[in-house]
Amino acid sequence: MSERVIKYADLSVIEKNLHNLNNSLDYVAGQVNTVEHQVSVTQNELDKLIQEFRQFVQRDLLEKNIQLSETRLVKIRQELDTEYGHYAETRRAVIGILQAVDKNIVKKETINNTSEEQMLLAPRYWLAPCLVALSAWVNDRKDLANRALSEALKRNEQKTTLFFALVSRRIGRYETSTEWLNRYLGLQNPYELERSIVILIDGFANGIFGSEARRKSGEAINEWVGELSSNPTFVGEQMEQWTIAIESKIPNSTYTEFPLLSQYSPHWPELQNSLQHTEVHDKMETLFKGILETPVMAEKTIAIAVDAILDRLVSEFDEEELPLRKKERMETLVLEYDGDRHYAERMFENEKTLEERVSFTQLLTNFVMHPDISKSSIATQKLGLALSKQWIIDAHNDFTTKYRSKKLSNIDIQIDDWQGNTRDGSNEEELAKALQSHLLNKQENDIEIVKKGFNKIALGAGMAAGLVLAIIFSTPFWLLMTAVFGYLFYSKKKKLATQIQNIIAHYEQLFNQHKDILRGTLAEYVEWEASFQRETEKAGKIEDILKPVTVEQYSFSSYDSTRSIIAR
Amino acid sequence: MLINRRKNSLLTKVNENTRAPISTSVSTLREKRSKSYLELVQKIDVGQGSLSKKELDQLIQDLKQQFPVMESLHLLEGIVAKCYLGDDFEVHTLDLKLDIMRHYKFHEILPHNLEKARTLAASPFYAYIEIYSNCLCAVHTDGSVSIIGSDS
Repeated sequence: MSERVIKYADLSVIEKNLHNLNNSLDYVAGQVNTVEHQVSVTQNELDKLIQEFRQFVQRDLLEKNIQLSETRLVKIRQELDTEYGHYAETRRAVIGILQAVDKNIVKKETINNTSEEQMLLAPRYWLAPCLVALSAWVNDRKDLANRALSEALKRNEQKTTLFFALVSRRIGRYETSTEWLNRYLGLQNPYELERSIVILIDGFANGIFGSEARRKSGEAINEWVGELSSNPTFVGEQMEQWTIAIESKIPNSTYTEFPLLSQYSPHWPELQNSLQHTEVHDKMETLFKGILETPVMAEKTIAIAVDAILDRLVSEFDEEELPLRKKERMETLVLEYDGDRHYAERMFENEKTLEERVSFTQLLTNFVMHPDISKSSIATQKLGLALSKQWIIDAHNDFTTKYRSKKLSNIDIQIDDWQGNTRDGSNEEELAKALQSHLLNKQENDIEIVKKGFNKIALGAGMAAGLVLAIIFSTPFWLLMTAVFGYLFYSKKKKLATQIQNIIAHYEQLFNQHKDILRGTLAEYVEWEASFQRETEKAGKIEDILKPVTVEQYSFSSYDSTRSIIAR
Repeated sequence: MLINRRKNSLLTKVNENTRAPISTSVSTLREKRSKSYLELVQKIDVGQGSLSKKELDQLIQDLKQQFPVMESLHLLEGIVAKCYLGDDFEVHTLDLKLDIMRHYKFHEILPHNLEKARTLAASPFYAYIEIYSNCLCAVHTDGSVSIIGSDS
């Protein structure tokens, strides 16, 4: 009976349906894979979008900072003009009177009237009574000259003293000039100097003072340097000032010549940082050579030289203007650093170029590193360099040693989930083997997973077949099932072989790709190492440039033949 | 005083555990090491291979006695220098606390604070490195000295 049923049973429909079911399952699996891939793509695109958005926000912030700083600068400069613009007239009048007296072409009455007018127009301003004293002296009115002088000294003793030291020098009254200078030097404390001391140093370095005054200035400079050098704490601070100055030259460079190393070494930030540090040597060399090789152009006459220096004394060092000047500098730095306010604030804090009182050694640093803000002439920059050279050499060597000590002695390379390590890029073979072994392990795992899937089916099919054998003769249904499971087993086994082949091909391709990446990354690391060594060797040039520099070289007089006496 | 003094400055920092402030010794630590002293340090390199225990002890004694910055000797923990014994060796150390000298291969870790000086000692730019409890002195081949804080 059962034989008959089996014989006539039509299994083709069931077979077809099972085939369809199998196809449907494959289709669903394919769909799931597609969705998984799409999710991964979407995630990547989302990450990229987030990154781009952050970059956009950052760029937007920087642009807004730039706009804000530009607006603020205009406002600050307007305020400077409104608040202190009228001082400009007094300033111009000073030089005007001196030059008018030289040529004897202006009536004494006019000089007198102009000076008194300025006194009324600029209350509190130290230069106004100086102007009156100057015109009273031209008009031979001793009493008025003394009273005006007394008022000027009351308003600003240091600047008035320096002003008359320079004016006396201009008209050839050497003794009077020396007396004023002595008084000025007596007011100085090397730990707390006014910014305007640069005028004295400029006068000294440019050979403006007479021989006696220059001797006195030289002695004072010697004394200040000596006093500060013998104070270990102060030397430490000076070294630190130079370290900050040197570190401010570290550029924010990116290195496109290392595309693989930057992508596949988790240590790239450190490698990049080390290279950035090496760039400082070239920058310092350019800076120092620029100072030392620029010739000092002496003015034709002492009068022109003193007028230039007087003009700077009266126009660039007024404390009243300092709060606004500080704001002006801050906004200028924001523009200089492309809107990075945070970095600009740090630089501003480090500069200390607009402090009311600074130490002599800080001044020397400012002369060299920030000549534009400290208003130092090229002669003063040279002198500053000569006086500071040992501190600069030591700070630069410490800076170099510090970054060299942080150089990594080996780096990690990460390609997908594989990680290796290299000391000098020479272990390519060893790393390639490790990479291959890692990928083979992954390949084995993937094959194992696929096989496990097949094994379950095979087990199911086997169990079913066993059952069928047990009851094969009882019902035709079980016979049918035998055929079904047999087909399923055959179909899956065939598919498994294809899957395994695909997995092997995939990992072979992956290994070839990753091996190329590994080889390229190692080659770039070797190049990086060579680049680091080449650049860090340049550190020695700084000492070579500075060592031969002596103070005597930069303290000759341009206007007489007497040598300066300062020496270090 | 109105001068801008940085608190906790590297050079004025006083380390705990009876360490001397660097500022008091920094100027002396920076003193140029003499040529004869540099030559003495170079002798360490042949130490393990060809010097007897007695000769080595004598070398360590000489190094201590002739140390150019005597007031800082008690802070000196050891010396690390580039090793030229063979390709496998990277640096050698002289542990002055234990009076032990040893050559190290690339993969071996240096003891105590000495590991900090390894990169510098292995570089071609310095004759040797002195390790103090609060700083490192990198001695150049001409005897001049660069100083970095140990926490740098």
